[in-house]
Amino acid sequence: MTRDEIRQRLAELVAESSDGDIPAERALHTGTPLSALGLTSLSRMRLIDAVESEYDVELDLDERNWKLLDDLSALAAHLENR
Amino acid sequence: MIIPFTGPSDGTGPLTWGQLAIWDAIERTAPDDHYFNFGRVLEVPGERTPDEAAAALAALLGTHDSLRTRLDLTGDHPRQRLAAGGELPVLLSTEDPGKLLAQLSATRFDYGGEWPLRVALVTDGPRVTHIVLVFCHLAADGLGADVAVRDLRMLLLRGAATTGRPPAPSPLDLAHWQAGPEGRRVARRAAALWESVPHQVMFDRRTAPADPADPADPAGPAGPADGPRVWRAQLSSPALGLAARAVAARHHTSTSTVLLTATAALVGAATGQDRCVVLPIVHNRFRKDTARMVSMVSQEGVFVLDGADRGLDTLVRAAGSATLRAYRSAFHDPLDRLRGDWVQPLCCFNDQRFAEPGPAPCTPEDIRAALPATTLSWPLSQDRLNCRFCVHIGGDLEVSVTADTDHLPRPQMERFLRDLEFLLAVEAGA
Repeated sequence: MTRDEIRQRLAELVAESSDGDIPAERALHTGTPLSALGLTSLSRMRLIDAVESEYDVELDLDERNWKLLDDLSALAAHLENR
Repeated sequence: MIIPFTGPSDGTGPLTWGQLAIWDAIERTAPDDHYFNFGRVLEVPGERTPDEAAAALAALLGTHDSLRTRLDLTGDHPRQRLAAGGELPVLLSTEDPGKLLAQLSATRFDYGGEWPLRVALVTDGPRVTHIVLVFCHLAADGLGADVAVRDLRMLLLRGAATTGRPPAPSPLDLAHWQAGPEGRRVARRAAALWESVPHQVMFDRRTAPADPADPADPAGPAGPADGPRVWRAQLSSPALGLAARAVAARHHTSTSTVLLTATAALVGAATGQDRCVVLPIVHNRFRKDTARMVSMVSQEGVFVLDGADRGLDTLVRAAGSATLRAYRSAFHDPLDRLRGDWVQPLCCFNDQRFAEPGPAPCTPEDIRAALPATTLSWPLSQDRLNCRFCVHIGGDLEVSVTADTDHLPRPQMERFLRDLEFLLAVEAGA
């Protein structure tokens, strides 16, 4: 999958995890951090679980990794390069 | 009234992680374990007779295995025992639903013999106006109870609770998954988070009780020396609710994270400890399979905040990833916890709100104007509890501290709640 395709899929997972509060288009077409879009910690955890299952990865929840968990493009790049 | 019910399966098996965790808490709190009973009142839609309500209840018990599950307490370790069918005694009453809820919650469940659901139908002439449900905590947590209530409402309205979704796993299915390779993998990741936290008890010193003769004592007399040791102080504070929303809006986070962080900061201040460890109760419904289970899935996670005196603004920023780690740590195997002797700070946090009011830019003026509406009450006291310091968030917005007065006397419990309101109001600019 290309990085753009991964971003597209991640945006869909954001929409799913937030029960539609953050539509995929909004997550995709903005450079705003996910928290500023209104992704709550509970939705974020659902997103992390969904990403881990779908991409068969384990995401580190350390404070140093926060940007990765709050930025769709950074997460897509991480998944592309793993 | 007796309601017969049948379900598609029966069986026995080990407890799920959530069942094990609450069973441990129940055993530590007995004989005051009615503390864990909780309930819901459903306003019955339309005109339904007791027979129609009974049919809906029978279908509910047939659908959700958890409501047909009791404990087998005959061996060395409790096991869950699912029955294919049975008969549920139901109270018919014309009393106030709230009063019935309190009445049905007031005594401990017979975990081996009694169905884990107590029900009263409130009638007005030929129709049922309300259904009062009291859950044994082994059968459901707050979100599980909400699923059951929604399904019961649909059964009353349509005669079916189908949603088009695949059925949620039963507690026996979940226990099987948890013992399998995928469950063990999840458990190991959670265990690694717990094992990274050193041992620490937050309220580790006994303190002198309040002076019953002191008229200046704001909480009033502490009671006789042989009175209840555990008390609950509850602050009902619209101002605190507004302030939490304002702080959450500034940090793009939830009011739950703000309240957990503020609690940790104040526990740090009250105990003089730089590192604060709090165990938030986490619903563990992040996974698709557990999301709609009627079961006890909630467990304690471990939340660690270093430098508790850094100021709330800094702490809330740091809390983002700490909260995620707490959530991940919560879906763990209590037997791992027992074997590994993990940290037990005797300090927990339970946000019980069904719907959390989101962040909102509430103004300092509005917060100040709401301050006079704050009230404090002492709604609960008992002798035993499995924890030493528990913060509960409920309603809109009630914050309570339930504490062992040998370690936190009543005036200090009140102080904690007032400080929480003050801290958040100041942080919100009021």
